[in-house]
Amino acid sequence: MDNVLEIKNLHIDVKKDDSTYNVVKDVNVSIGKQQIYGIVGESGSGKSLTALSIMGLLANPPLHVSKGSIQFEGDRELLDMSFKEMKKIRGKEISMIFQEPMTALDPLFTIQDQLMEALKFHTKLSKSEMKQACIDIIERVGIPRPKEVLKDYPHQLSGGMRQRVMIAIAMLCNPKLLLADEPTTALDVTIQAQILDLMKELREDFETSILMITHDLGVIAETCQRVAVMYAGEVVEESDVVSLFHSPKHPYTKGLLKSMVSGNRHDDLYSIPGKVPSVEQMPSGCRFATRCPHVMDICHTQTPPVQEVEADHTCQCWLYQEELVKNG
Amino acid sequence: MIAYTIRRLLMLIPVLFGISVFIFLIMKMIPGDVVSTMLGTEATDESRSQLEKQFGLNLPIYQQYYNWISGVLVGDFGVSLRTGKPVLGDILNRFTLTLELTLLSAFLSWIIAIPLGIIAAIKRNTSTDFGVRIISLLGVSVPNFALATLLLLILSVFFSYYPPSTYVSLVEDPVKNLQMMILPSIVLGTAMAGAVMRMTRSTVLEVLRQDFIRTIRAKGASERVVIFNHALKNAMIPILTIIGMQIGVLLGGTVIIEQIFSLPGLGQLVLTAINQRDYPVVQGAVLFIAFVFVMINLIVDLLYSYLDPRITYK
Amino acid sequence: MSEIISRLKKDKVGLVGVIGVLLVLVMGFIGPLVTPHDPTEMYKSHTLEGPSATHWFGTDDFGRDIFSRVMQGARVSLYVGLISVGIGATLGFLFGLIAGFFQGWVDNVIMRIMDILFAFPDILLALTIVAVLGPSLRNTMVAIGIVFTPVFTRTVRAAVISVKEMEFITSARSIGVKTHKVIFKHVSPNILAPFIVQITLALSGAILTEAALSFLGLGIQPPEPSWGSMLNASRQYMEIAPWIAIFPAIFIIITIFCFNLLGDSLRDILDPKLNQ
Repeated sequence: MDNVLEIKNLHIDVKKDDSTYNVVKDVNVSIGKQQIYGIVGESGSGKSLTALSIMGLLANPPLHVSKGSIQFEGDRELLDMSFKEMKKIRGKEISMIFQEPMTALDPLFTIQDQLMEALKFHTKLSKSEMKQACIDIIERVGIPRPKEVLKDYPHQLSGGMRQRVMIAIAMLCNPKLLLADEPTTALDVTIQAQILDLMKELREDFETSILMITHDLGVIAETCQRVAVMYAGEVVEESDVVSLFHSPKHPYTKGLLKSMVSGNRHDDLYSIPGKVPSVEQMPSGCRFATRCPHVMDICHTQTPPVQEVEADHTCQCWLYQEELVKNG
Repeated sequence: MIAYTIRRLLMLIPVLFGISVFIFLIMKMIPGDVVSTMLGTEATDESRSQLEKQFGLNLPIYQQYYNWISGVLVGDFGVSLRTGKPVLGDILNRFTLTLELTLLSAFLSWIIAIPLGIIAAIKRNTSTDFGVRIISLLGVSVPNFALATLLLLILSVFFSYYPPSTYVSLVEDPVKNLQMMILPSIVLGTAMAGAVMRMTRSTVLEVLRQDFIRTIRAKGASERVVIFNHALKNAMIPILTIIGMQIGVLLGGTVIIEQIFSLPGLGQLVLTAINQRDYPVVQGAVLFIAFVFVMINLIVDLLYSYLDPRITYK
Repeated sequence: MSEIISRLKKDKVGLVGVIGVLLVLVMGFIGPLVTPHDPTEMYKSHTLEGPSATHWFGTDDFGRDIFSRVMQGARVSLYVGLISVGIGATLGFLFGLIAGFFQGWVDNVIMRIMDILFAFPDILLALTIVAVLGPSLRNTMVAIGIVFTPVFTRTVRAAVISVKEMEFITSARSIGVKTHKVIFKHVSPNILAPFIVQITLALSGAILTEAALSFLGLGIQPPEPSWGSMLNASRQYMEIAPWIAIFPAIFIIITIFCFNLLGDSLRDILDPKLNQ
């Protein structure tokens, strides 16, 4: 088994006013060694919740994993781990960076304090060794004048710099997996490209796998090898990146691609009509049925099964079931 | 930091000037002047004008203010109409007790309120949280004189305990002194405890919802580190604000508490002076308390900028 | 307003506050009319009697009926509270409106004066003013009114400034609506929310301050009953007649507690930022 992470059958529920609603349903994801795996979807699709559940950082209550398994390095079941065991994995073997670099750092501590903290949790280095490690990593993530920046407070740095600091904190203990939750969304376009390049470099240097979570197919195209498209808590399509962009199968993926392409080339911007259903009003059949241009009767009543439509390319849609039925 | 402190101290000058003018003017508004109070019904025109001259009351009002404030600046607050002793000496003698009472109440309220506030925030929406919230609201709602009366009632009826009527200072006998100060301090500190508890709970809750807390957890921090190293430090800034505001309540409360527990402090001095219409003492003591309050608030402000690197020393 | 009421209905804690405040109001307005005894009448042969069928809360050292005095005390508390908060709120509203709207030196002068008032602990300021004016019902209310003026001034000023920056005010002014019309048509309704919250909280503060002044003998003067002075008088007879202390103490605690409950939930409702 050379996968770093295997998510199987992951279900996440939310408790609201004494009722329980499903927010993530039957997610299956496998991330290979040094792979950059993307999860793409609109906000509310459950992609961030999936990442947080890997870290064991779901806000519980109201959220909790109701079913499934998350296996790290083949045989370590993260969902069965105690808080103490998880604590040793967080920041050391699996790290995470977040969307908002402006608020993701404690405003009252210097950059050095915040880096050192991670080292104190996970290593037994001496103080001077820790300091050197901080300088090295800050230099490595492309921050000039590392010694001075280490003494700065977060508010003294720009958004791009802060995200580099976040990446430095995440890479400090040489993790096997980095979860990046919309790492570039809050940044300027030019800074976005720099941060993505940095992440690709680091993946090679540190031999780290990355789970890239984004709503931006452009980011996926630029960085990932494999990708899962999530909609309303479900993975509706999963394949390698080339196959996804060349022959998208699911109507939702097609819509996403169309809105991306037309946004660049045409005057009228295409967007998928309607919006993501709320957790209280989740359709009982296919969750995309309310917005799908090819919707059929069966879509409203029954959940489509996951179907391998091409080699290593799965899709969860009745359209391909029908084809299969017709073709015999 | 030092330059900032000096600048803040200089900025206090106009405020203190305003306070002194205010106190001076309000004292001038007293119906029936001091002289008639002193002489009673036996005032003759001759004795009146003699006394007026002696106190400088025949001078124009700005001249009178100038005379008073220039005395105050060199530590001459005038003399008591009753005892003839210098006012400042009396104030300083009694201030040590009031300061001890204030600090002890503040300290007691923090060591109870901050941990309880944190516990309520961690266990929010549980019965523990609900209990803490009720206690804290009761704390801010119970007037100190009502609490003192009820406590003394319970102690005397059920435990035959009476607060000692003669005061022993901290230097004379520290143990005895603390024994007699503890009850008044608890009563005085209750309101602050309630306010600090509420503030601690709500700000810790708010800080725990911030993004950076998730980052710290993602680094592999234990909950102890999250709460004590980060949440509490961030929450300290709003907590300090409420403490600064409550210090005024404490200082004001000493007037009542010292009266109830017969403690010869500054508050008791003010009250006695008001009842005896000893105006130089009232004027001096009120000015002194306002000065102390302003200084404490300055210290709180300086602590802010020490705690929060985002505050620039402008 | 109906929105506030409907949300108050859902907020159980706030509802307790509303009911408590209403009960206190009823007590203050109707209580003294229905009590069986005159609160100042002395039953010389019935001094320091415990609670009984004729004297529900017992009698004090002068033989006065404590139940009647507590009811009358509620009226005094509410009366002083409402009038003094009325004084403070009116002054604060005017000063705050002027300071916030014109800013510049007017603002500076007003706010520096408020800073000076703020530099005194509440009780001490009230005490000093009463000492100067002489203790009486009227002067107590004036003193408390002055004490609460700075809080209202700050609240109103802050609200006016924040509303002024909103787009619709700028646009109203740009289409030539006169300044004072802008103030009263747009600004006033917008600062109502923080103002109402402040009034509720100030009411509990004013009632507390009155009781404290009366406790020190510098507020309401005898024989007129006040919870504060009743408590003070009770201290001599604590062991032999604890009821003199217990009833006024309980009523003052409950009253202030309910006003604070109401103020708290109003603040939560009117300021959604503070909601969790």
